[in-house]
Amino acid sequence: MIIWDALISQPRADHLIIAKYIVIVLSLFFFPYISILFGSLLYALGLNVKGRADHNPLEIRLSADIMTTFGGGLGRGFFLGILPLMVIGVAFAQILYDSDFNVVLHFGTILVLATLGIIFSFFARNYALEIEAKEKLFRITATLAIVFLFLTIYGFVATTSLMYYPGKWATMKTGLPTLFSAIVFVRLLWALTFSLGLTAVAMLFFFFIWGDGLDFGSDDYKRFVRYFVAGNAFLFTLLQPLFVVWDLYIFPEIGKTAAVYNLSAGFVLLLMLCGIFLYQVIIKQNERLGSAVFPLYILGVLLFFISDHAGRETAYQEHTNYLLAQAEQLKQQQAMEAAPAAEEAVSKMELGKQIYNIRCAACHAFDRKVVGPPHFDVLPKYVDKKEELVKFILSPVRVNPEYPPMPSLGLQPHEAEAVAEYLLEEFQRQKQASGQQ
Amino acid sequence: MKEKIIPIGIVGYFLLMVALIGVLGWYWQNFQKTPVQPIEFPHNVHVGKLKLDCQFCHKFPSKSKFATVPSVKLCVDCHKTAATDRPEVKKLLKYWEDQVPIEWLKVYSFRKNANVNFSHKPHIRAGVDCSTCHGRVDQMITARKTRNINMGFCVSCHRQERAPTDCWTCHK
Ligand code: HEC
Ligand code: HEC
Ligand code: HEC
Ligand code: HEC
Ligand code: HEC
Ligand code: HEC
Repeated sequence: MIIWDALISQPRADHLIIAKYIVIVLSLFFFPYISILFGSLLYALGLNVKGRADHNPLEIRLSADIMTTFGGGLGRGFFLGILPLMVIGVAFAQILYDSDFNVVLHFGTILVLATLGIIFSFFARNYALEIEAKEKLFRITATLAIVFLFLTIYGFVATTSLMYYPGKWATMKTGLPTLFSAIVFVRLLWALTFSLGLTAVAMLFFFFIWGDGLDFGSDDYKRFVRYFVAGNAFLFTLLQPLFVVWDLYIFPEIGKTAAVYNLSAGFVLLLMLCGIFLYQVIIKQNERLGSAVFPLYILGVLLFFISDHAGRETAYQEHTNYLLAQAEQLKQQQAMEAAPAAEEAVSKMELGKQIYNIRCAACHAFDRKVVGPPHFDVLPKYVDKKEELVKFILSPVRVNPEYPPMPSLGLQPHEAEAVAEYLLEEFQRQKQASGQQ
Repeated sequence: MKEKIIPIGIVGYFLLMVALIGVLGWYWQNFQKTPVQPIEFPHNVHVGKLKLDCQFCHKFPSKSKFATVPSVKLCVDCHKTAATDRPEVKKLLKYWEDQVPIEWLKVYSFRKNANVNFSHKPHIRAGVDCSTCHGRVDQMITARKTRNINMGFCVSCHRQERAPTDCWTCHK
């Protein structure tokens, strides 16, 4: 966690843009990976339990095949699950820098849950390889993995949804990602149907289409797998649009933007294509007709993540504006600091000049009226009275009714003193310069 | 026959969902979206950068219950000279020369038939922050609606803060 903090310094404008793309692209690894891991465990455990109850060897066998194909290896789990999640966390730490959103706590929690889920799924897979001897252990570890992966998905959905509510960040600052509201509920339902749909689609792809596919042995088994896979894929493809529409219906006002509606519509249209293909697979008993479905699903989830991020960005755009303003200020300060770095003696003068250029120059000039009066008109009364000038800068009072009042700028006392010193010095210099002409 | 009906049903179902999304988007576009103002007045420049106080522009006169939106005169006090090269400020000065008021569009309002009697005064007196209801205006470019101000929102805070919750407090 300390490393995380160290990685993260005040973001520059371009960091924020990079962070945005990191979130979208790496979500595309993390989320489908966790979804397939979760979905495959759920299918495998369900088939195992049901197969024993029905004395159906086909179901038992499919359960084992699912585990061997999709069950988690630790390396895969790290590179497709843990690592992307950590980088997404760092990206959000930049995007939400200096806000009340507790990125470390929220993403740290998800990270722990995901790690546990991946470890248990690794054991479940190993036990599934010797299912006849280790069936009980398989069931226990698979159940644990399912629980932790479910919590991972919930944590991810709740955390990314919480980002839509800047007003709630402060109250959730020390809490776990336990936001539970209608929107989290609907998105969780979507995530679960998506997970089961995507897993079935991935099975269709990796069992039948990719490379040599699965060695089915018998036509009976092949037919059984085809029905199971295409049927589930079809069902969960059909269910998803309901939650997409429901989500948009209760979508928070603060995040609404045209991109959300357009991309969601695009997502549903892709699901429609998938639905048609899957229906063909079932009716025509030809799995080749479904070869495009897996890529279409991945494209669909890409649209979903772009849409989701567009909404989030709209929701916290005030915070982004704030960071951009801070970055601009930092850049100016660094430019100032870089220039006279050699001369320590003038540093207070330089500080005064810096602050003046950033904070005062928008409203003041020496020789003409901008928002405030020209310095030549008002500074004479402050010559040799630096303290009074400092006092005025720290808490301006109304002086001349012809001008609007000067706002309080919230400077630190030492900053105000530096500005005052600079201003009086510069006043003398400019006065002499104009006197000589 | 059946071979045709089911695929058509599937396509119809998905297209219905797309149509629903379209309706939601259309409703937002026409009834909820923050309107485009005649001048893009940046709150973040004036509040975030120049640190002007909200009430420098939004005066809450003791007689009126509205937070007034400032007149062109107030802007021009500064903008006769400040940032006169920016296109939006040029627009502003045109209004001033032509002596026409700027028609700012309302961002926040209640439904007319709800007859709500809202006043800023008690809330400011009780120290409720502007951002509770309006979001972080100091960092907004143009003021935008960050939440739907409905009865549930008012009443839940009143309950929490032990402010009156009788119907006639808010409805006339
Ligand atoms: C938002 C615009 C604005 C900014 C920013 C601003 N000023 Fe001013 N300043 C004014 C206005 C307006 C007045 C005239 C106030 C009056 O006469 O009541 C003024 C007046 C003054 C005066 C004259 C006071 C007097 O006694 O007549 C000084 C000195 C001054 N400002 C210094 C500063 C310094 C230093 C800064 C930066 C730290 C600064 N101002 C930033 C608007 C601004
Ligand atoms: C320099 C003057 C100025 C200052 C300072 C200012 N505003 Fe505004 N505000 C305006 C103008 C002009 C409008 C109308 C244009 C618009 O809505 O974008 C406006 C509009 C608004 C609206 C939308 C009103 C509606 O329903 O139409 C809100 C809310 C608001 N301001 C809140 C604030 C808050 C909160 C602050 C302090 C953080 C603040 N303003 C500071 C000038 C100002
Ligand atoms: C206290 C003085 C002051 C008042 C009052 C004021 N402004 Fe400004 N405004 C400024 C200054 C100073 C800038 C330039 C800030 C900068 O970018 O450095 C500015 C910038 C702007 C800009 C250009 C922003 C950009 O970067 O393009 C617009 C538009 C604007 N003001 C509109 C208004 C309107 C409309 C009002 C009246 C509701 C108003 N201002 C009132 C001082 C003021
Ligand atoms: C309790 C919630 C609440 C708080 C706190 C609040 N407002 Fe409002 N504000 C509203 C509502 C509701 C409206 C719409 C009023 C209407 O249409 O009659 C509104 C309208 C406005 C308007 C538009 C002009 C008008 O009165 O119709 C401005 C400007 C405004 N608020 C500024 C502010 C400022 C500045 C603050 C902080 C000092 C503030 N508000 C605090 C709820 C609030
Ligand atoms: C964030 C909290 C909060 C919200 C939101 C809020 N109020 Fe209030 N309201 C208060 C407090 C605190 C008081 C002051 C009670 C007092 O003075 O004893 C108050 C007072 C009032 C009063 C005066 C009551 C009296 O004493 O007669 C009215 C009217 C009122 N609110 C209406 C509304 C309306 C309408 C809304 C929704 C647009 C709203 N309030 C939203 C906190 C809130
Ligand atoms: C704290 C303020 C507050 C109190 C107390 C309050 N209301 Fe409301 N009510 C509102 C606001 C604000 C709206 C308008 C919301 C909108 O514009 O959508 C509203 C809207 C309504 C509407 C809907 C009007 C429509 O056309 O949709 C009804 C009906 C209503 N209130 C009845 C009541 C009744 C009955 C009570 C007493 C139990 C009550 N209200 C108490 C603030 C309040």
